[in-house]
Amino acid sequence: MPMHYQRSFFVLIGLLALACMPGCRHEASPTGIDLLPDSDLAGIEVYDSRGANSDARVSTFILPSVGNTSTFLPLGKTSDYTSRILLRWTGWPVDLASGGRIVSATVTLHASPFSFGQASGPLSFNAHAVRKQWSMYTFTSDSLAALTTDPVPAGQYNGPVGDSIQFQLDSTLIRSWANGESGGQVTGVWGLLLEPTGATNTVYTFDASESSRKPATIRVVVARDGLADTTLVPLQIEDTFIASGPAPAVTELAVHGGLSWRGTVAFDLSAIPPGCIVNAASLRLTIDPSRTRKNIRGIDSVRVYELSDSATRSVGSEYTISTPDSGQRIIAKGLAMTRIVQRWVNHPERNRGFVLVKVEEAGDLDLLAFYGPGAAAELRPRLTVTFTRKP
Amino acid sequence: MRRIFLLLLVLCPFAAQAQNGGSVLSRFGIGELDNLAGARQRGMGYTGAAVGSSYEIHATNPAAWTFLSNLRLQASGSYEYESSSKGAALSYGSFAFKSLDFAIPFEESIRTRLSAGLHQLSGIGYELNAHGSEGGKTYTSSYSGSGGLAFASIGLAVRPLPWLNIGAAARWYFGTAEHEMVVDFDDADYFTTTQRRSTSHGGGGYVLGAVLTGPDGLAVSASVATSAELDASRDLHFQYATHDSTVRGADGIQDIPVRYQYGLSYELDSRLLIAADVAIQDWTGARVFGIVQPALTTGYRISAGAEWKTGSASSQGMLRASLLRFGVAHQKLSVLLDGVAQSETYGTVGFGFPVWAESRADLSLEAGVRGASSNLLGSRLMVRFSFSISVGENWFTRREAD
Repeated sequence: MPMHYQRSFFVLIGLLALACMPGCRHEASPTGIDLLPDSDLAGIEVYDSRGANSDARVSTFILPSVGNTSTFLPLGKTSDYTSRILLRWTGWPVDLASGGRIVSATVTLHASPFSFGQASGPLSFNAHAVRKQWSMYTFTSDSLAALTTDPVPAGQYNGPVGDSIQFQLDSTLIRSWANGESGGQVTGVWGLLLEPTGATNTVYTFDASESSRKPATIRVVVARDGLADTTLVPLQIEDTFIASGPAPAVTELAVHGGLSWRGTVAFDLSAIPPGCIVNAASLRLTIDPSRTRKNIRGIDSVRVYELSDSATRSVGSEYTISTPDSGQRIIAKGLAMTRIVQRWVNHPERNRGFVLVKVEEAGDLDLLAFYGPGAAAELRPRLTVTFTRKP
Repeated sequence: MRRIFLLLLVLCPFAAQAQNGGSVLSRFGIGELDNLAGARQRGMGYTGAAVGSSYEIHATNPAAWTFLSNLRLQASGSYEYESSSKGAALSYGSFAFKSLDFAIPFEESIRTRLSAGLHQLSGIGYELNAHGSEGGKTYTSSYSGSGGLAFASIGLAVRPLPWLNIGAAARWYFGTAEHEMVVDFDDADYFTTTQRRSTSHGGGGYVLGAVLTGPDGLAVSASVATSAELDASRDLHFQYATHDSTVRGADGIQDIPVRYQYGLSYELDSRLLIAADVAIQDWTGARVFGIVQPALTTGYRISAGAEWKTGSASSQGMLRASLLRFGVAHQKLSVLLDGVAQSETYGTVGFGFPVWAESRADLSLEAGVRGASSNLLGSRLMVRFSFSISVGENWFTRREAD
């Protein structure tokens, strides 16, 4: 066969192949789907704790938590609550330790807009020198009992609260404080504990170092012979607050900021066959307004975690932040919820329930209470899970 | 020439993965069954089991290999288009390599021929979707299938008597059938369901054949592909929001029932040959993963065709060795559609011509109608274009100088 015939043949085959390639397509169509065996078809189902008559098991517990992320510091007391502030300045100017006479040491706290208790009531507190090391990054609400302070206050305040309050500190304390730091001592002064006293019946809040506003300051005026008075300020501050208040009932479902109340809510998911694919999960909780106390921020939201260890009450790393649903109801949904429930479906022994953590747990003193399984059906905690059955 | 051989060898993996099949019919059994024919037989309406060919390697009748005149390497492919009267959404087109065969003439006194090859046995290819809602959330569920079965074969053919040609080949069936379900919710907060079921198959079988050549250009043939029990193992793949999981499902049995094919051919004169074939395979009791499927039934094909040499002894060039083919066929599919048998009737044309030296090419075009407008899938127009190329070499032929 002549060579040009051979070339023509391969060119023809190549062109035909190219022409065929774009036609290699399938368009999905519903026609014929009725012919598929039932075992092929998607079995989408919804588990509803209400319909499944699977009431939640709820409880509330206290897990001491650090308050370092708070953007303001509550200080004061009411009939139910007491809140203290810990302050510590570091980076004192060298001049302070080297001599001169301390004329004054003034602490200024800048008020935040939140308060509760007696409206515009006076605030009174003592400032005690702290004699034991602490850090805002590790100090928890149960660390107060182990804190060592001078019994005699180094400063006091008693008066109304406007935009700010000021009080004077003992100059001897300041000298000891600055000397201790410059000498590398670790057993000297470790800041101040502001302890509310007297007839205070209000909790005020003040700007914290974590806020973008004005944290507490201390200004020390030093006089030297033949020289003008010098105002010195330390470079850095650490602060946090420690609150105490009512204790939860174990059988209720509630979360409390500042007091580290956390709630647990668990459901029996045995109605969902193991191995099913969870498409979505949502937890609905209804706020009980009669028990809820919006003392400060009034945020109606919780973080929902998986309880990973019943003994230590530790939680998993994933969480969902609830959003308003309707009326007094909030809802937690999204991929994190789906993943948590998927783990429980695949491993039922890991289903220890959800842990509810107050949004701003370390930053306010609000109580958010929810209806439990004893409430009317429409008010109870409700979990719905959309899942696909395995073939 | 060596380059052509290498090119065809490169096609081997494609031949093993080849698949057509574009409707939900391919969901059942092992998929839509291939007709196991090259472009030459397709052009003659799928006849040719009794037609001895000097260059075509038969897939269904190893006895016909004795007619091969020299070493052959053969590949074939097909483009298939299906258009339904129910609308464009049911139409599809797909291209697939169908086979790759190799044959060696060992010995000439009884014309011993050894052949090995890869062939597509079935193809799975469908995509369906539906809309639904659950708990107030709407979703789209999609179902698709892919894959199919192929077989590798090796066998021997001899001509112990001048009028008797017999052959046998062993087959190893293999392949994976994939079926996937995806449920996609309209709400972005909902995780998409993806489940995939992969069934792997493996098992052996045999094909035996005979071609009897009579006087005056008459030939008859019979072949039987024995039944086979394939070991099937299933993997289930799930995509969870937390992880992907593949679990090993239960093992099972996949039956391939015995297949019979009979052929008849007659040379009317030196330029015209006519042929007729019948093939039948009963899938009624075949187990698919251990379960008899009610959707399977007996499938058969009846066909007739003719081959005409375009040139005479005095013709020159390409015309002298070219062949024109025609055929008609009617087949009943082995899958019932909603309990109703499906048939296909079509006409074919083909053209065979030399490419160079001992090498030849064949092209075929089939057009037919499958099903009926009253069917769930409607009446479908089927068009298939196929090609085969058979490269010949004389590696094992002693040259005169030797």
